Amino acid sequence: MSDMSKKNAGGRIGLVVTLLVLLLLFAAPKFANGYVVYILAMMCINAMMATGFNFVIGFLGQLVFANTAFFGIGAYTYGIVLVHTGLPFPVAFLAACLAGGIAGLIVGLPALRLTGFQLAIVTLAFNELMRWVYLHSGAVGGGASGMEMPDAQFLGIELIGDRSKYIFILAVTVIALWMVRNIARSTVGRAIVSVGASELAAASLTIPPVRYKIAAFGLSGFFTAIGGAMFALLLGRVSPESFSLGQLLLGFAMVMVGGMGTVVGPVLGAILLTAAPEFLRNIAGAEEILYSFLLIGLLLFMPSGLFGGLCALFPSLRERHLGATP
Amino acid sequence: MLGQLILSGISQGAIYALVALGMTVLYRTTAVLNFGYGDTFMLGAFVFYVFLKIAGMPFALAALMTIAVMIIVGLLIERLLIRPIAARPHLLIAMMTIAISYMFRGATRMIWGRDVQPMPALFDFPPIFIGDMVLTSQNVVIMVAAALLVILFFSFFNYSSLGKLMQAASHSPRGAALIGVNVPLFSACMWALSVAIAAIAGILVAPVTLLYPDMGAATLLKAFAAMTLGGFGNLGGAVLGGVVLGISEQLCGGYISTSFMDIFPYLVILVVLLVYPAGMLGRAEITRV
Amino acid sequence: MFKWKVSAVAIALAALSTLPARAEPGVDKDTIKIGMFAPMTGTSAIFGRYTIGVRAYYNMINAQGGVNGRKIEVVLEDDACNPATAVAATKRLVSQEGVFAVHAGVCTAAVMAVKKELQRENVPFMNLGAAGASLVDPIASNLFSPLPNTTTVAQTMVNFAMSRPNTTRLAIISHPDDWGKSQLDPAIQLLKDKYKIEFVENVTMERGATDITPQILKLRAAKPDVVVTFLYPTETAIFVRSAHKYGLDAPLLGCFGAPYEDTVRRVDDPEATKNLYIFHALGGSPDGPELAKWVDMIKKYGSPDGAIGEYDLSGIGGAQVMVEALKKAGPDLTREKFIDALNAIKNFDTGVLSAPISFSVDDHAGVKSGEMMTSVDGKLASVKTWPSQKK
Repeated sequence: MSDMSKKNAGGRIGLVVTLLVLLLLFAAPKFANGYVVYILAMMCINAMMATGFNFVIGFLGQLVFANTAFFGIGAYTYGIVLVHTGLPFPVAFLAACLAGGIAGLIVGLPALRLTGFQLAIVTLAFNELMRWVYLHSGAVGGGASGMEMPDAQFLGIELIGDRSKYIFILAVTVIALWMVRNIARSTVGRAIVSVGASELAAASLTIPPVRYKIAAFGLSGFFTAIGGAMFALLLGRVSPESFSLGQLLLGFAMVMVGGMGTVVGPVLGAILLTAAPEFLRNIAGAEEILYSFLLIGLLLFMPSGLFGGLCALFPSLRERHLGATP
Repeated sequence: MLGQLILSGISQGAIYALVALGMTVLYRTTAVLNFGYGDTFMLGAFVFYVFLKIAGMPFALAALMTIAVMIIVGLLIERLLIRPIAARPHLLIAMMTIAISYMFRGATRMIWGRDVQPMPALFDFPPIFIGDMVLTSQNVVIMVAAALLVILFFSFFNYSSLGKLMQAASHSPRGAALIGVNVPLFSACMWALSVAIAAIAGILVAPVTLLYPDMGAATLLKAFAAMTLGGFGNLGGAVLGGVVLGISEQLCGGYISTSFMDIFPYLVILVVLLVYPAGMLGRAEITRV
Repeated sequence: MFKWKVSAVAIALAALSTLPARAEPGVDKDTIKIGMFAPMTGTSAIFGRYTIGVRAYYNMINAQGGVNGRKIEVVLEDDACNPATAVAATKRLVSQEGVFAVHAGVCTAAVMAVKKELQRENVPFMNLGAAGASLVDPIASNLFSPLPNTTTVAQTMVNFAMSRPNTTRLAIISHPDDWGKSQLDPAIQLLKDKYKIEFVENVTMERGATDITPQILKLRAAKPDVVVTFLYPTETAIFVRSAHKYGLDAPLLGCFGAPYEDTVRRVDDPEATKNLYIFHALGGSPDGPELAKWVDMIKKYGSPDGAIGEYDLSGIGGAQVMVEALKKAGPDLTREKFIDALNAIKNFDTGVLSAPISFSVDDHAGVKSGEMMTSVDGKLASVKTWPSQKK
C-alpha cells in the first residue's frame, strides 16, 4: 500500500514539475532575448525529429536511416503547398504532416521484406535520393537555391518573428509529445515494442507483426514531418543543405544520447544536442570528436542513454509502458 | 567512347570491389557491418600521406608502415570498443561503428581540415594507348592490386581449412567456441584484416583523387551498393558487384546523363533491394523456426 | 513564503525594465562591436580563412588608434556553412552580443537564410566572401557585397574565353548546386545575348565525385576551343588532372573559389596546368609585389594559418570600406548614418582587389569585374583578355 502511494506521489511531483516547466517555457519570450527563444524553438523541432526517429529505431528497434528524408518531406511539402497552391497555413502544415506519414508507410512496405542491415542501407539510399530530388526540384521546390516561405497566419495571428513562431511551435510540440506518450502506452505502442523485441514471440501472441511494423513507420514519418514543417516555418526558407547526412547523424545521436525507446529520452537528447553546439561553437574541429567520444562513452557504459541513467538512479521515473530496461 | 568508359569503369569498380570486399570479410566473419569503413579507408589514405610526404619514406616502406599502423588501429578498436559490446544487439554495434567514423573524420579535419592534400602519382610510367583509349599507370596498378587481393582472399576463404573454419565460426560463435576456436582472437584478426584491406584501398586511391576528410562517405555508399548488387555477405558478389557498379555508373554518365551519375548507386540499392534482395550471387535467407 | 519570492521577482523585473535602453547597439564610448560568422568547421572550413585578413586589418586599425576614438571588437561565430547554424549564430550576435553591424558569410545559402531577418532589424551587413548574386538582387537596404558575385564571375569568364582569337566553340562543366547554377545561367544567357551562340557541351559533376571520365569524354567529343568550369577547389583540381589524362587539351577556365596557385600545386603536373586560367578578384598574386604589404600586415597583426593565400586576402577590401564608412559616419555613430556612409562610397581603391568598390542606394554589388590568373613565360600573370603569347 505504501509502495503504491509512493508511486503516486512520484507521479504527482512529476506532473507539477512538468506544469512548471511548461509555464516557464511559454513565458520565455517575455524575459529571454531573440537568440534564446530561437534556440528553444530549435529544441522543440529537434525533439520532434528525434521522437519520430525513435519510433522505428527505439520502439521498433530497427536501423532505419530515413528520418532526414521524412524531415525534408515535411519541410518541402509545407513550403510547396504554401507557395504554389495559396492554401492557408493550417492546411499546408497538416499536409506536411500527412505527407510524412504517407512517406513513412511507403518506406515501411518494402521494409517488411528486408532484414536489419539491408533496411539500414536502403533507407540511407532513400535519404540521399530525396536530397537529389530537392536539388533538382527546379521551379516546384526551388531547386538548389531553396525556397523562400511567405509569412504565415494562424487563427488571425501573424506568425512573424521568433516569438510568435516559438509559441506556435512550442504548443504543437507539447500536443504532439502528449500524443506520443499516449500512443506509447496504448495497445499500438506496446505492440510495436513487442514486435521490435521479437517478431516471432509477438506473432505467437497473435500480434500481427506486419500491421505494427507499418504503423511504426507511418508514425515515424508523421511525427518527423511535423518537425520538418516547423523547421520550414522557423527558418522561413528551405534549402537542400539542411537535409544532409550530417543532419541524419545528429538525429541519431539525439536518440542515442537521450535514451532509445522511451518517450522522454529523445526529447532529452534533443535538448542537450541543440544546446551543446552553441557552447562548443568556437572550438575548431572539436565538435565531431567530442560527439564521437560522447557516443562511444554512452554505448560502452550507458547504452540506455541519459534517461536510462536517470531511471537507474530514480526508479520512479521509469516510464510505465516499458518492461525490462535494455 | 564505349571502350574508354568500360576501362575506366573497371578501374573505378576495382576500388569499389576492394572496399566492398573488406566490409564483407568483416561482415561474414563477425556479423558486424562497419558503417565507419569509408572513414577507415580515408584514414588509411591520410596515414599513407603522412608517411610518404611528411616523413619522406619511399613508397614501399610507407605503404607497409601504413598497413601496420592501420592494423594496430583496427586491433585497438576491436579490443576497446567492439568487444565490450559484442553481445549486445547489432543496432548498438552499428552505432559504435558510426561513432568511430565520426572520430576519424574529426581527427583528420582537426589536423588537415583547412586544405586539400595532393598526392604524388604512384608510378610514373607513361599511359598506354590502346587505339582511342587511355590506360594510365594508376589504372593498371589499381586493377592488378585489386585482382591479386581478391584472388588471395578467395582461395583463402574457400579452399584453405583455416578459411573454412573462419566461415563456420562466423555463423555460430558459440559453436566455434565449443570446438576450441578462440573467438575473441578470431574477431581481432578479422578486424585487423578488414582494416588492412581498407588501408590498401586508401593507398591505391589516394594518388588518383585528392585527400580530404570527407572522401570516405561517398565511398561507403558505393561499397554498400556494390555489396547489395552482388549479394550481401557474398565475397565474390562484393567483387562482382563492385566492378559491375563501376562500369554501369560510367556508362550511365556517358550515355544517359552525367547528373544521374550522382544518384546511380542509390538507385541501384533501391531497385535491387526492392525487386530482388538476394542480389546477383546471394541466396535468399530463409530462417527456419 | 511563496508570496514574497514572487514579489521579489516582480520588483526585480520592474527595476530592470526601467533601465534606459542602450543608445545604439554595439557602440559605447570605447568600442564598436562587429559580429562575424564564417565556416570555421565542417566541409567548407577552408573558406573560413576569409576571416584572417579581415581580422588582421581591424587589429591594425585598432593599433593605429581605432575609428573616431573607438576600437573595433570582433565577435566570431562558426556557421559551418549550414543555414540553420548561421541563423543561430546571427541571432546570438545580434540579440545576445548586441553587435553594431555584421561582417560575415562565405556560403551563400547561409547568408540568404539570415538576409530577411537582418533586413527587418536593419542591421548593417557586409558580405565577407559569399558569391551568390541573390545577395544583392533583390537589393536589401542593409546588405552590401564588396566582392564580384557569381554573375560577374560567369560573365567575365565568358567574355575572356571569347576574347581568344577564332573562338566559336565553348563547353562547360559545373556543379548542379545553387552555386554552380548561379554561374551557369548567366553564362548561358550572356553567350546567347552577346555572342549569339550556345555551349557545344554542358555537363555536370557532383561535389565530392572523384571520377569524371564520362564528363571528360563527352567534353572531348564536342571538340571545344575553350572549356569553362564552375567547380569547387578540389573538383577543379580533379578536373584539370583528368582532362589532361584523357587528352582534353583545350584551354581550361576556372572560377572564383579555386585560387590559381593552390590548383597548380594540387594538380602537381605542369603539363596539365599550362593552359589554365582562373578568375580572381585580387589585383595580383599573394607572393607578388602588389600584395606584399597586405601579406606583411597579416603577419604582423593577424593570426595566419599556414602560408598566406588568396582566401586570407580576399576579405580585406570589405574591411576597408567598413572602416571608411565608420569614419565618415562620425563619432555620433548610428546604424542609419553608417549605411548612408556605405552608400556614398564611390570608386574606392582598396589596393587589394583588382577593381574599386562602389555602392549606391540602388546598387550594393560593389565590384563588377575581375581578372584571370595564369602563368605567362613561367611567371604568374593576371590578365584581362587573352594573352597573345598563349594558345
